[in-house]
Amino acid sequence: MCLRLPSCIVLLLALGQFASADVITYGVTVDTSSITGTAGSLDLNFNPGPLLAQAANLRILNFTSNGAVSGTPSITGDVSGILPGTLTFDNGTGFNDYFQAFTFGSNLSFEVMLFGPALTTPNGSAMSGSTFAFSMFSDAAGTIPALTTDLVNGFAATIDVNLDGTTTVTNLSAQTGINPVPEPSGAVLIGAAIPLIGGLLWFRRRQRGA
Amino acid sequence: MPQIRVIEGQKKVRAPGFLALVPVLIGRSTFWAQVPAAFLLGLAVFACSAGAQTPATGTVSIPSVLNYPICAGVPWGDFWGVTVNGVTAQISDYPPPSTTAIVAQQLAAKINSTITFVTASASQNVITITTKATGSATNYPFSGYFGPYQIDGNFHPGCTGFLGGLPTSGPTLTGGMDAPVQGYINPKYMIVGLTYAPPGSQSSATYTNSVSVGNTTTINSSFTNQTSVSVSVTAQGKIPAFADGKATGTYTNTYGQTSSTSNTVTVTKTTQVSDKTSGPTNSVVGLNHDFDIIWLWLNPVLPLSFPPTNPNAITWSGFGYDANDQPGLDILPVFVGWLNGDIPVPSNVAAVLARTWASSYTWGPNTGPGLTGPGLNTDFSTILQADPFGQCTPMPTSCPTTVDSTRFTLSDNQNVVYEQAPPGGQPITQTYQLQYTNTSTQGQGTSTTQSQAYGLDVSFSGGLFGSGISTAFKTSNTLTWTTSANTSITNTGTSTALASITGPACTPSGNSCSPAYTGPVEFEIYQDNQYGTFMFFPVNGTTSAPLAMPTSSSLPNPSSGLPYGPQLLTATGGSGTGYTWCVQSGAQCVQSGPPMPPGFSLSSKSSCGNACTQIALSSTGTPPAPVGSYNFTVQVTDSVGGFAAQPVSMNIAQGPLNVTGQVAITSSGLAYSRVSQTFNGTVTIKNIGITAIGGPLQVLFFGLPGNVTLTNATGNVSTTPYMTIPGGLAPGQTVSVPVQFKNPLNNSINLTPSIYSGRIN
Repeated sequence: MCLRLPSCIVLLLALGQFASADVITYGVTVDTSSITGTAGSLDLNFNPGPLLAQAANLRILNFTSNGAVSGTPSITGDVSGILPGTLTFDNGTGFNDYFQAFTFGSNLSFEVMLFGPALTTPNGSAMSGSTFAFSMFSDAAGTIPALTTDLVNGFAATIDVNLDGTTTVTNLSAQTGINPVPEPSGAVLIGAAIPLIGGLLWFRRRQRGA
Repeated sequence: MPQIRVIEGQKKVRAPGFLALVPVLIGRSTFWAQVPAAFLLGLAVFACSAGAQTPATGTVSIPSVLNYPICAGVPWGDFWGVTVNGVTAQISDYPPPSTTAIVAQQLAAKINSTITFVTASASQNVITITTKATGSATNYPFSGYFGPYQIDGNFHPGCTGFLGGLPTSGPTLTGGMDAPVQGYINPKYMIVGLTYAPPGSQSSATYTNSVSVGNTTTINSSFTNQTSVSVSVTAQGKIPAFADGKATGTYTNTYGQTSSTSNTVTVTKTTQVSDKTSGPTNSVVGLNHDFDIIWLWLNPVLPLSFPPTNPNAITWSGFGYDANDQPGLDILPVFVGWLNGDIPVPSNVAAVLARTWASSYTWGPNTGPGLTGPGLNTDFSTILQADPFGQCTPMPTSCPTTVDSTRFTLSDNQNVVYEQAPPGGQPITQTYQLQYTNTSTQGQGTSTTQSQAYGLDVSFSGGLFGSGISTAFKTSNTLTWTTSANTSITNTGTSTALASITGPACTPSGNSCSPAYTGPVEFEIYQDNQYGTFMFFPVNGTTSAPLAMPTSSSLPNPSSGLPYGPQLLTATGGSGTGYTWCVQSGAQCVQSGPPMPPGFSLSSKSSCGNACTQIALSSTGTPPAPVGSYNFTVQVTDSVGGFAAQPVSMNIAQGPLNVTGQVAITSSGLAYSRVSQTFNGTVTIKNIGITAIGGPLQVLFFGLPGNVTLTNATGNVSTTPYMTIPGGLAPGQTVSVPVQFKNPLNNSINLTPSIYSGRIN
C-alpha cells in the first residue's frame, strides 16, 4: 500500500510509460522563436533497420504552430496525411518520409504516437528495430539544419523502437522538448486509484480516530 | 539525290563519275584505283567542250596626249583610266608620254593586270577590251577618262585641270556568246585503291607493273542539287596542278589521264615500283581486315566549266591536283583499322589527314578541311564503305559470310592453304601468281556510292564561278560519286600480284601449340572488280577474327572462407553467338582438365559487345576453399566450333575465422538525413557463445543492393563491404558500430551480415 500518494502516482506514470505497451506517445514542443519568419522545412521519417524488422506504426498528431505549412509536401513510402492534419507512417518500406516546406513562427508542437506489433508483442525473432527522425531546416530544400546540434545529419530528435518493444529518445535540439504523454488507460487507472487511495487513508484515519 | 541528265550527242564522254583506275601513287604498283568523279573547273588549261564562244568587246581611244604648262611653278602630268563593270585601271605619267600609242599600250597593260575578267590590247591609240567571260545578257558598262594631276600632290587653286572622258565604242561592251566559266572544286579525298591483307604475319600480296585499265563510273549521284544538271566529260593526257584559282601549269610526270571511251576516263601511272600489303603481326589471328589498306588521294582537284547563262550544263575536264599541298599527287595508304576505330590513328598520320594546307578554302559547316572520323557519319565511315569487310574485326556479326559475286570474281588459283605448323615443325609457305582478268560480263553491275564534302578555293568567292556553282550545286558542298566496274574493260597490259602465304608458327606446349590457331585453313582468292586487287576469303568459314582469350591470367588470390569475385574472364572474336563456357570437363568442354577450387563457380555468360563474351568467376566463401595452389583452364566455344581457353592460377591463403554462429547481430532502425543524404543506424554484435572471440572482428555486410554503399566501410571483400572492429568479444559482451548507407534510390536494405575473427588480407 502506498502511503505517500504523490510517489505512487509518479511510479505508476513511469511504469505506464516505458514498459512495452499498446501505444507509446511523446509530446514534442519546439521553441522556434529564433527563426521566426524563416521559410524553411520539416522532415519526418520512420524507417526499419537493415535486418529483419517487425511491423510498427507511427502517427503525428495535434500538430500546432503559429507558423504555416506551405506548398505540397513530398511523401515517400508508407505515409499518409498532410500537416497540420494527422500523419500516419508504417515501416513497411525502407524509406517512409514526409517533407514539408514550412514558414516558422515562434513555436510548434505535435505528438508522436508509436504502436503496432513491434511495440505490442515483440516476437523475439526480429533483428532490426525502427527509428523515427525529426529534422528542421532553415531552407525550403532541406539542406541547412536548424535548431539542432547535429550539423552533420541535421536530426533534431530521434526515437528508436527497440527489439523489446521499448523506445529510446535522443534529443539533439536545445530548443526541443520531448516528453512522454501518459496513456489514456494509465491515466484512468491513476485517476481511479487516487480516490481509492484517498478512501483508504480516510479509513485508516478513522481507524486511528476510533 | 542529284538529278543528272546526260545530254545525248554531246561529246564522247558521258557524264561521269568517271573513275579511272589510278595506279597508285608514286612508288606504288599496279592496282587500279577507281577515282571518283567530281567536278573540275579548269582555269584556262582545259579546252572547253561547249563549242565556240564570241566574247563581248569594246574599244576606248586615246585622242591626244595632254601637255599642260607649268602652273604655280608646279609641273603637271597626265592620268588615264578605264572602268569596266565598276573595276578601274589607271595610269599616270610625268612627263606625259610623247604619243597616244604609248598611252594606249601602258593603259592596256594596266587593264590586263587589274581588270581580270577582260583582256586588253592596244593598236595605235585604240585599246580593244574583250571579256574573258560574259553573257549576252550581261554586257559590261565601260568608260574611260583622263586628266592632269599635280605631281607635288598639292592643290593649287589657281591651276585648274579638268577630267575628261575618253571616246569609247559605246557605253557597254557588246556582243558575246557564253564564254565558259571555269574553275574547280576541291574534294577532301579520292579513293584510289584498296588492297587486302592476307592471313599471317609472314604473308603478303605484292603488286607490280604498271597497267591502265579503263573503268566506268556513273555520276548520276554526283551532285546534291534540286535541279537537273547535264554533265559532259573530257580528259587530257596529263594531270595538271591548280592553286589559287588558276591552273599553275605544273604537271606530274607520273600520272596521266585519257578519255578512252565515251564512258571511260582512265588515269594511269607509268612508274614501275612494287607495293606490298602484308598480313597482321599475330599469325594466330589469321585473317584480319583491320590491316586492309585503302589508298587515299588527299589533294585531288576536279576542274569544271559551264556557260555563265546555264550553270547546269557542266563540262568536266578530268582530274588535277592541288599544288598548295605539294608538287604532286598526295596519296596516303590508310589502314582499315584506323578507319573503323579499332586502332588509334598515329599522330603523324592524323596530321596528314588533317589537310591543314586547305584550311583557307571555303567549306560547309564542320566539313573541312581535314578528314573526319572515326565514328558514324564521318569521312572515315564513308571511306570504309569501299571495303565490304571493313567492320569484320570490331563487329564480326556484321561481317559478310558470303562473297558478293558481282563485286568479286573468283580467281583461277587453287585454294590458299593456311595451316599452323605442328610442334617442332615449320609452317608451309605457298606463293601464287595472281592475274587480273577481263570482267566484261561478270562484275559490271558492281558499284559503290559515296558522298563527301568539298571545298572551294577562295579565289572563286564572289566571282562568276562561285555564283554559278552556287546554282549548280546549291552550295551544299557535298560531292557524291559512284564507283563501279567497267562494262567493257580493256586490258592494255597485265595487272599482276604475287601472293605469298605462310601459316602460323607453333610454340610447343606438350603435344600441341600454344596458342593454337583454330581458324580456317583454306582461303580462296577473288579479284575485286572495282579496284582490281585481290581479296582472301576463308573456305567454309567466316572472315571474323577467331575466338580468342588471353594466354594468361592475373586474377587476385582469394582468402579461404571469404567471398571472391566476380572476376570477369573475356573472350573476343568468334561467330558472335552460341558462346559456351566450361571448366574441366563436360559435354560442352573441348578439353578435360582440373577443376576449380571448391566453392568456386562460373556465372552466366554476358555480352560485352559485338563478338565478345564474358563470364564471372566467383565464390561465396562457403564452404571455405582449402588453402593451397590451384590451376585450371576456363574454356569457351562458339556456334561454329571456335575454341579458346585461358589458364587460371590461384593461391588460396588462410582467411579469417567465420564466427557468425557465435554472435547475435541486431540493429536499430535507419534514420534518413537530408543533409548528408544517408541512412544512419547502429549495428550491435553480441557474443552469445561461451568462449571469447578474438579480434579484430570483421563485419561483412552481404546482400547490399548494388546501388547502395556503406559509406563508413573499412574496405571491400570482393564486392562486399566490411567494417573492422579492433577488439574481440568476451562471452556475453556486446559491441555497437554506427552504419551509414548511401541509398540514392531509397531501396529497401536487407542485409545478411557475417562476422569473422581475424585479419583480412
